[in-house]
Amino acid sequence: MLLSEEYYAPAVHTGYYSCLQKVKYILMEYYPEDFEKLGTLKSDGTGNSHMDYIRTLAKWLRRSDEDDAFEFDRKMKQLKNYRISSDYSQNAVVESDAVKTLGIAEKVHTIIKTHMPL
Amino acid sequence: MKMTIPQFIDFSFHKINTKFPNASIRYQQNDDTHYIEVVPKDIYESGAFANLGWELDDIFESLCTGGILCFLTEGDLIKLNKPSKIYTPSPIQANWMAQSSSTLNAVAEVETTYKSLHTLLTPLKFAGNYQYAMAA
Repeated sequence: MLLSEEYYAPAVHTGYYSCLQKVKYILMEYYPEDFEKLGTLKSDGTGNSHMDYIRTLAKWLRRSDEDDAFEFDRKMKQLKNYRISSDYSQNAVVESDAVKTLGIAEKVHTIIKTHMPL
Repeated sequence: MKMTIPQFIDFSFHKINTKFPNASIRYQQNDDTHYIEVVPKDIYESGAFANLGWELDDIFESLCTGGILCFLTEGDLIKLNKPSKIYTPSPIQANWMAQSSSTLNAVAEVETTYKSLHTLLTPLKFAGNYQYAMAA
């Protein structure tokens, strides 16, 4: 819907956060000890909480499939950085990049769904 | 003693180049992210590269830089506009790799043809034996 309305930057934003929220949900639901530790890190004001969530889930994914875990890791890192650039920089987000972002987000969801109990 | 980031990048280039001599590699730092771009895409998407990528990522994490190591390839969302380190395989090397690859393909083709013929001939042989058995 955002794409058809030509809201490309918000499409990038929601694409990334849909993945991050899924990552956080999985950790909270299935790996609560890890999730608690990440919460502690965050309140200390140290580290990068988004990256901590991504790394922690990647660590669990690696136990079932190294290749998919690597794909998840590199795609999430790209989404994260592209979302920051899209939200805060002056660079315009064009339609093809917004479409690409949503394709990557979809792939991330598929990897999580394949390896994580939902 | 821990590696510095430039040492780690040199090390990564060396490791990637040793394992994938036909790959082009570029590096660029944007804020806290260290991007390493590997082309062509089929190398980047291979299981062998995933193994190496994790190996490098684990080393990078052990350096505790607080930064991010991110691998890219052609056509990705993030594009490198000012790479500070570039490795391109020499045309001779690339050509040699392409020739080796076509030779390997040719060998694979011959093997496949041989296997097909073997599959085709094996039942005939058994059929022949069966006929002999019947005649006896």
